[in-house]
Amino acid sequence: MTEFALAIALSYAALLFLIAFLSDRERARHWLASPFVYTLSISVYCTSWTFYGAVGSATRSGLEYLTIYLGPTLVFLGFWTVLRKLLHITRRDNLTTVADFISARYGKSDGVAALVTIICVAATAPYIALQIRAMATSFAVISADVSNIAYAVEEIDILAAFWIAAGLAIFTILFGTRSVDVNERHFGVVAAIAVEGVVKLIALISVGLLAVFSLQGGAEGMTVSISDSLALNEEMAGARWIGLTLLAGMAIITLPRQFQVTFVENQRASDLYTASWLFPLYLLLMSVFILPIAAVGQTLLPSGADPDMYVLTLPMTLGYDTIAVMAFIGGLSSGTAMVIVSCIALSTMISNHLVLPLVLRTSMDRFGRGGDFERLLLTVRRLAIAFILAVGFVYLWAGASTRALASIGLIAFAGVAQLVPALIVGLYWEGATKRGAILGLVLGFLTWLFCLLLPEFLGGLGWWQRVEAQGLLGFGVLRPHALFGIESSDPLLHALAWSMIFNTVGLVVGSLSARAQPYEERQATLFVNAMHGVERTQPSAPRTVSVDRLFDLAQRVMGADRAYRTFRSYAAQTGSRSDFPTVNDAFIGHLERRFAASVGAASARAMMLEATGGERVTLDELVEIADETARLMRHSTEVERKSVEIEEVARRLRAANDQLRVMDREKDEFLSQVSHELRTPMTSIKSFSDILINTGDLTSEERARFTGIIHSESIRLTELLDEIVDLSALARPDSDLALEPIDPEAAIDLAIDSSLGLMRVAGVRLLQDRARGGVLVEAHVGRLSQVIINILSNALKYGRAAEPQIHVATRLSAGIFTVIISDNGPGIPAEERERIFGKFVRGVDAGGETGAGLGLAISQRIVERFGGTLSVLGSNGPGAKFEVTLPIMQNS
Amino acid sequence: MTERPITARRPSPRLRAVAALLPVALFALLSPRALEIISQTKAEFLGLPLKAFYIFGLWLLAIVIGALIARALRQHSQTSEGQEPQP
Repeated sequence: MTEFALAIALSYAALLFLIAFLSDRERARHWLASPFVYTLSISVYCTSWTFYGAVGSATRSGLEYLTIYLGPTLVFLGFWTVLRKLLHITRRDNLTTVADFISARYGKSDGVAALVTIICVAATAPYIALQIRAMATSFAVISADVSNIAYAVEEIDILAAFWIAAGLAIFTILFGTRSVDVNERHFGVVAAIAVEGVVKLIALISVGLLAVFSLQGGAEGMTVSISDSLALNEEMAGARWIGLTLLAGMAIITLPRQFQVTFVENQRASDLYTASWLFPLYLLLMSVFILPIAAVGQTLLPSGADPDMYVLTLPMTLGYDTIAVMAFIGGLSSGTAMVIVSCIALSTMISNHLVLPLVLRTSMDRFGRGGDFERLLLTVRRLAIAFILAVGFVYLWAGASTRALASIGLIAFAGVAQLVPALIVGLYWEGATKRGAILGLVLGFLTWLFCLLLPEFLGGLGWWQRVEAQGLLGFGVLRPHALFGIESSDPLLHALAWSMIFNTVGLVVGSLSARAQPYEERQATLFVNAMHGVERTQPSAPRTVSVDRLFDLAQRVMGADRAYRTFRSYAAQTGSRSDFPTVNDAFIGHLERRFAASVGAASARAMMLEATGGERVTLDELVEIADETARLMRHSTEVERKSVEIEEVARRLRAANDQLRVMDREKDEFLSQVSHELRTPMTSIKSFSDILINTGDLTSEERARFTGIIHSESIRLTELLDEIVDLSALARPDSDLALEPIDPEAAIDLAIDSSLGLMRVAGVRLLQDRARGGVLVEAHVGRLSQVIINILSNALKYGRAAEPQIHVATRLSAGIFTVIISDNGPGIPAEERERIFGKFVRGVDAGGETGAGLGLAISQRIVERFGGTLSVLGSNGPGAKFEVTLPIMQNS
Repeated sequence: MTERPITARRPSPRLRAVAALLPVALFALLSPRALEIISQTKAEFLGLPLKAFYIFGLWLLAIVIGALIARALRQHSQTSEGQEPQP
């Protein structure tokens, strides 16, 4: 069986190569740019730990294994908050790894990048050991004789493990290090990982369906209760449930391989929208069949069988060899995918953040333009891959081989979780500085190392057991599983809680203790405000560097060919005529980002600083960025304020428009009334003059009568026109009315005098009740008497009674001079009282008297011009009563 | 350099709040306290306790809601993020 298993493994590897090879060709790229391929590549999260170990975990701890999937589910469902921002910045700045990202946030610091790299390597090495062990074990299981299944592999064959590690190293080197530029993404790798994602899902579901079939009493004719076999109803430890969920949620972001596939290898930002729900669905499918497999394994397999291998031993026991082989390939997929992507990510970190800074410190000039530098980077990366797998192998060899898969995986998770405060806090708090990040990372890393990794690694050694019992250097407070005397039955939660506390406190205290450098502040602003439109701004400091010098540098870093293409395409974009662009800050920034894609942000910046000779960020530039941020914020509030203003203006315009419409209608009505009023006398004049012209035999009497009518109608017409002119003149507020202080009583006397004749003819008795106080009002004598005459003539016209009388009374009260003119006629009905001040309104009972009907309208306007009022007083019963009020002048 | 126009369409505050609250709600509903309450019902179905159905059912529901939210967010963000940056 060993040869068979080996043949399967090698064929599978060959298939992956073929997929990778085909996918790297241009034609496959559009097919690969699919959200499904992207989502499947993220499934690299599900390693052999998941594939084999989840069943083991479910067997031992019931539903607890679900936390490992629920954490990432929460993070992906909430992608809008964190993942989207991480993706946006990674793509914007061509960032290559999680170490690159964190270092770029803290001023592209070499130190931060190196520190993060060390943490990642330390956390991933045991994880890789875990994969090697799972693969070695599965190899041993599948190779065993069917009649004598290896249910529990106590000692893995270390030689087999070595060959697996070596094979993985060669495989990964061939796979992942063909290019150094992140812009030329690992299409082949992503395609292969996506295929592996499908393979392991199908394999696990197959085993799961087999288990479900057995549950229903299929092959063995028995019924298995999942609840009974796995003790699912037992009380869960609440803190552990929450702790593991959060831990998995943090790990899905900061695990180097997850950062690689989710952010670095992402081809279209919009694919994240699909992955946000599709990846949780993948996790759901991966975890749903774990329960039946665990339950059936627990019931059917011998009691000594290793639960971590149920996925493989169950189909073998039930005699389903095809499914067993599928399960073996599925496990192989899970392990290889994890190792390949982790190694690519870690080797990039090691070459860019550990080795390259050292090389840069010696001198770049030793490298020629023919791609020496690129070759160096590739060599470093290949060696780094070999190194990482070697560390993993040594870890496996040196011990730690007896622990269950799940616990090692969780230790790795807790290690990379140390990156979370620096990463996430730095994404939302501009005040987080390099010093804080380093302090937090160091404290968190040391706590993790002391409380979690070392006990795991050194647990068997006597001196370490003394440390565990008595504390480090005899200090009782420094016991790895009881830090500061706080005992915990759960070493993982204990270490996680303390490391995250130290980490976060270190980050905050370190950040508050010192001011950030200008360049750090710039990066902080660009990261924190990334989603608010604050993009790169152009540095304003002048640079003195020739295009030749830059091209020279670019050739060394990127190779001659790619350097030339970069320069030419930029030149074409900016409209330059030559192949070389003009050197300005924008171009230097562009080139630096291109370099960053190969060597990481920190090294790229160091190279550019070297080439351009000087600190890139000036205070001016910082001020500019701050201004830019403030401007954008101001702009949006201003837009809001302006829209409110516009609404107000629109409202006022609508009101004005409505008023204009009303006035327009009034004007039309007035015009039609005027023409109607003019037409009546005109018609009369026209018809009588027609008769005079066309009728020859008129008597002289008739002739005289008709001429008289024409004459009187002409006079009426003239009067009417005068009144209209008068009215329109009064309507204009700027019309001249020569106001002066006058005695109102004099004007009333004048009006009465001129009306006396008419009163006598009509037999009207005039009664007067005057308060002659000698006050002055600001008015016009002629106009005021015109008003009084008008009211008196109305009283004469309408005030018909058996013994008609008119009463004129004046009063002085509280600065107001009042004239009341009343008669004893029929009075004005209540509904008429408002109307009579309108134009061309005549009383219903004019009794044959004619008039234009403008008198009261004109009178009212006149009085209003004097600042007074003219109104008709309400009285039930007979007698009309008009009141004129005028303000008395102060000094009178 | 690229500066996103300030007038770019953004999802409504309500949609953004729903997107941010979905994982929080799921976390709360899957908290140990909530699971404890569910566990009080000892009912079993197909050999599984109610708790398992509760977790997987809620998980699936959250995925469906998440898919709807993602679709809405994508529609509202096309102007700001839909275009790919030039290589």
